[in-house]
Amino acid sequence: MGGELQLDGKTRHFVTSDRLFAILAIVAGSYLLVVSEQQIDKPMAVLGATAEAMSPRTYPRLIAALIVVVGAILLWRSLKLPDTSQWSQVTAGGYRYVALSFLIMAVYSQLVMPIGFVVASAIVLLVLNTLYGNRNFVLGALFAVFVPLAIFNLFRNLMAVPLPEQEFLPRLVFM
Amino acid sequence: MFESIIAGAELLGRVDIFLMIGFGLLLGMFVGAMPGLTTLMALSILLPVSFFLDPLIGIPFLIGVYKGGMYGGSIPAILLAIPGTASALVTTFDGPSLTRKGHARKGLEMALVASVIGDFCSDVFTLLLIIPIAFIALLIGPPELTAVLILSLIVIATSGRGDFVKSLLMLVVGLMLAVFGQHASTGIVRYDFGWFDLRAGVPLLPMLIGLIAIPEILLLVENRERQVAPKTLKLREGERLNWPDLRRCLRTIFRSTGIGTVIGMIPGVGQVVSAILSYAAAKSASKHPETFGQGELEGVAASEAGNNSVNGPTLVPLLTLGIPGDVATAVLLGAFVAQGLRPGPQLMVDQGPLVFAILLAMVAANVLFLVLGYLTIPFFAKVVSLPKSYLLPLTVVFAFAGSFAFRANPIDLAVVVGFGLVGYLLRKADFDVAPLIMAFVLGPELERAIGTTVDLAEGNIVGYLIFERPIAVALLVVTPFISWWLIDRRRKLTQRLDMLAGSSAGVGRLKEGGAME
Repeated sequence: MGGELQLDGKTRHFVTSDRLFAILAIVAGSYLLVVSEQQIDKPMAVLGATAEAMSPRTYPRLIAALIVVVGAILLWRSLKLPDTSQWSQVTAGGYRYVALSFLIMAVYSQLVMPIGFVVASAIVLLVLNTLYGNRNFVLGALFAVFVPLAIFNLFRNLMAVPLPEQEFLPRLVFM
Repeated sequence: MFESIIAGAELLGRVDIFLMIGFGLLLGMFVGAMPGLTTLMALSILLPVSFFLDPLIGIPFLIGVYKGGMYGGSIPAILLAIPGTASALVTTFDGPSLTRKGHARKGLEMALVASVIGDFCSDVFTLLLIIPIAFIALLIGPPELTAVLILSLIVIATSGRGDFVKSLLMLVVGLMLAVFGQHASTGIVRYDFGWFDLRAGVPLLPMLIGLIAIPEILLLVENRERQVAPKTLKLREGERLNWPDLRRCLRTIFRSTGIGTVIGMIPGVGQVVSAILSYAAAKSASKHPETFGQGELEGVAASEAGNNSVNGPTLVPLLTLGIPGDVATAVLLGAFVAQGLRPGPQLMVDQGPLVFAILLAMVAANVLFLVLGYLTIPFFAKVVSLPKSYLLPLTVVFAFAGSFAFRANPIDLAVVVGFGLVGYLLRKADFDVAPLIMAFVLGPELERAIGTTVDLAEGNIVGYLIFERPIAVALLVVTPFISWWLIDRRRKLTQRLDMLAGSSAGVGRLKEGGAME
């Protein structure tokens, strides 16, 4: 993945995905153990006894400890395991598409409430459709307009689930 | 119980149930036929649809998607040598050769018939098996349930894609994620970090969609330049499947069905393993093993009967013990819970007629499966070349709509995006998210079972288990041995797949698929 080192005539990577995730697991597990007292209240005790024999803190602490232990085992094994990650299998251009797609989805998640599902989805469909290679812009525009309307009405009329509506356009509900 | 079966049959006298099953089958076949789109993705996105339907319609609808998807994956496997689903990997050994010889239609029809026969037989077996297992499950107490859950989770981790320790790490992370939010018994909030939205815990559906659907979309986008299928793909009719062809493959189909049925009942093992073992068994039993890999119809029959016959039995541990056999049944568990039905020993007692109605609908759905599959073969042969530029954005919008529909909470959209990023990074780093999802689903049940066991032990846990719950102790003792055996078997299976495929490409695809489908 990164950080190449020449050792005994071989190229070894000392920064691998497995090691990074293992370290992350050890840090996260340790953090959850340390803050458990603060993040989990003690159950109410009546006459010195609680309703349950196992405190609500016990199980989370056990799992957090397991995360640390398994993380440590993975860190140790990563010294022997081959790097099976797939980072290098994709070109820089491919990652650009991924990053753009992810950014668009993140923006979409924030736009749905203020401007409504239909308008937000229309914008996202048009942008992604073009990004993913469509050059028939008329068909793309029709796709971007009618699909969100169809989904909006499907959810509202068939499933009685209201998706966020746009306030500045006429109601686009077809009964 | 038999009264429940009869009452269940009486509930099925409705056209809308079968219409929705048919719709689910078609959707599943469509998704399965598109390389890169997975049945799991479809299930997670369509799960919220089932919430707003009657349980007798919503749950069979999802089962229809599941069944259709398993078969649909064989279409591009046969036509393009690209498995539409991981479970269709083995179909690529013989399917493309059949296409090259001009027998594409015959191959597709054999895949359909083998899938339907495998599915039907294993569904009937499931219906018969559920009754005695449900009786046994009623005798299971919290200590035994704890042991079974631990064993199931370990088995799931051993069956995951990639290294066992990495799958184990995903498992414990899933258990921890399930802890966030309100403790079920005491109401105490745990690990909310001051966020009000986290008090209800991590929401299952947006997390599922984020971990499963979004990474699939991003992985497809990575290779945007590559055209997976030619723009036009005409299905050359060639010969159709005839009775002599089918008769010659019947023994293979039934053998593969038997293999798939047994494997289906074991949590975490999955369709890919069943397909491989079925193919290997068919090749060993054949008088002409040298024809396998050269367009042998029996090879397609073995693989498809093997992978589809897993579908029904995976419901056995789910319905009787509340333990999903794979991620797809974990999604179905979500559907049950959303409808107010908690799978487990008590479900068969409290809601027997409804459960049997769902199972009977599943058996009857195979007839629809055969008819719809036969009629739509030419259509789905064209579907494989649908432009991704339309399909992927549509999937994104549906995924977000479904996530919002779950509880009409805009924070769920952020959860989808967040877990989408995490899921993508984990996939690239070769971590299997299936153990994470399964552990998340089973975690609360595990904590409840452990807590109740500790309560019952009254301070003497070791003595209580050894003298009063020896079965639980026995299960816990055999767990490491079973784990070791499964890890070793997986290593041998990978070697066998190498041998069967004759190339490392097959092994890579097995590692891609793992236990995800």
